[in-house]
Amino acid sequence: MVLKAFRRSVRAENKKLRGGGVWAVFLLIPLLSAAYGTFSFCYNSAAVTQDWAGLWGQHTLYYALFFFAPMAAIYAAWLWRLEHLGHNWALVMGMPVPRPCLFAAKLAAAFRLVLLTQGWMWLLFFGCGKLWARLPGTPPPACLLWALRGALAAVPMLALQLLFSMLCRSFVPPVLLALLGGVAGFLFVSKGWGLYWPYGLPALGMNANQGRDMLGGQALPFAAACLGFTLLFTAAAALLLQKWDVRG
Amino acid sequence: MLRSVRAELLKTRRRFDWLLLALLAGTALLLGAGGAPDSLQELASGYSAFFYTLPIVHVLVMPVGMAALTSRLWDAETRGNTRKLLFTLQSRGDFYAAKTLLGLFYLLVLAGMEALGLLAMGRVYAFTEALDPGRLLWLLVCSAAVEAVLLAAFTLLQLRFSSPVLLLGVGLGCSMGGFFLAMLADIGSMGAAVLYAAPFAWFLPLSDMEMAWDTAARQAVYLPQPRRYALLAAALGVGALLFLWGRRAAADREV
Repeated sequence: MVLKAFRRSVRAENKKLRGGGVWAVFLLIPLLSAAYGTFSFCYNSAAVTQDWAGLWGQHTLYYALFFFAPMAAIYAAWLWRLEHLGHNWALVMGMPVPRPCLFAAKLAAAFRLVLLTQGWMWLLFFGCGKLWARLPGTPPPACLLWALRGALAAVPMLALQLLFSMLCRSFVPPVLLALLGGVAGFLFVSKGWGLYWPYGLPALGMNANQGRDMLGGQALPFAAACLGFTLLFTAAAALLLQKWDVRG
Repeated sequence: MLRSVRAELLKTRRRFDWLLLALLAGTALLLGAGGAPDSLQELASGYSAFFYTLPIVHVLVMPVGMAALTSRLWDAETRGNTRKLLFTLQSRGDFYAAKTLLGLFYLLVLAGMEALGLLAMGRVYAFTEALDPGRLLWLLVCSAAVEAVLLAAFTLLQLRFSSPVLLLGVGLGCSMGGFFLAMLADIGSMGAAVLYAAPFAWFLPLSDMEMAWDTAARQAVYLPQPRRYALLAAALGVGALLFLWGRRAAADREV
């Protein structure tokens, strides 16, 4: 019964993503990031090792630390946008699905979008490496793993952003909070506290601007942090949705 | 006109726009500082370092910040789809001018927040360098001028498309594009000319502080640069032109 409601909710969320401006963001941001990263890689040939790991570092440097969080926040805010328009919130409260299902479906839809974004980012990385930087061979499998790990690390951040966008009727403030969160994440990661900050996790997962694996020996704490933060934010959202009365 | 301004001020109640401005100023200062200074040389050039890094940070933060601010200014009309109603009830020119005035007021508040934040950081870190008020004023005026250009451009986009996603997407794209251009400008063959082509990156050529790396002493040296008054005038002119264009677009819009 709950599973059926969840599936129905996911289908509804996926429909909201069709033909939305959100796809322009999906295409544009990784594209610009790839152009910037590859240019920086080619230009700084004396300072950056000229291999796939070096290119990965340049591609993820600003993407993971600065642009990834606001992009994920835009995805999350988009998924709540329709509910906040007009008097739609009253309809949401009256929908014949358990309210936590609604939040979980949004999280699933946002995760799917982030997964696709990471795939697009990896394709751009591969294409730029072969065609622009003219690197030999193929990228090491670790790069693909880092991209996927970045998507997984985005889940707690997505849950938090969905919570913010659920509470805030306006589209913009949650996106700016993500911007600040990402910048603070940069400081947390540089101090070695990335695991304790949801916005620092994607940089750790993607191994941003690093040749070596930043998570060496810390895979379990990383997974625990991702799971813990996700459960915490999802539970908070579910609780709020359960307790919340209809508002116009 | 006064009635339109009052209406805009009424809309700001419970909107907490000052929080958004504080977020922007905080993010810029946090990124500009990059961490606490850890040597006497860094303390002795604390403010100069900020005068050099803040324009770079503005290139990264302000395009998306101004997109967000524009979206906030038009939030009530977008969510309630009331622009059509307002256009038929009040003078469109006044309506547009009131929104612009409020936006400019926000830019002044943002500049004030950055100045106060900078002074507070100087106190907290105990910079030994004396603050040059003229340089601070130049930084704030130039930043506000470029932000006004961005605000006017995003308002035009908002009028045309009414989509916050598109605005923020373009803002993020400009942030990244500006940073990309900053790197291109660093390359001798391209020169700084590329920066002049993109108003969203004008924070950089308007900066009056340059940095050189002293390899022997292994420290950054900050060098004052001549101020580009012509570019500042150009920014103000472009901002005014965009405002007039937007006002005309609002007047001509079908309802």
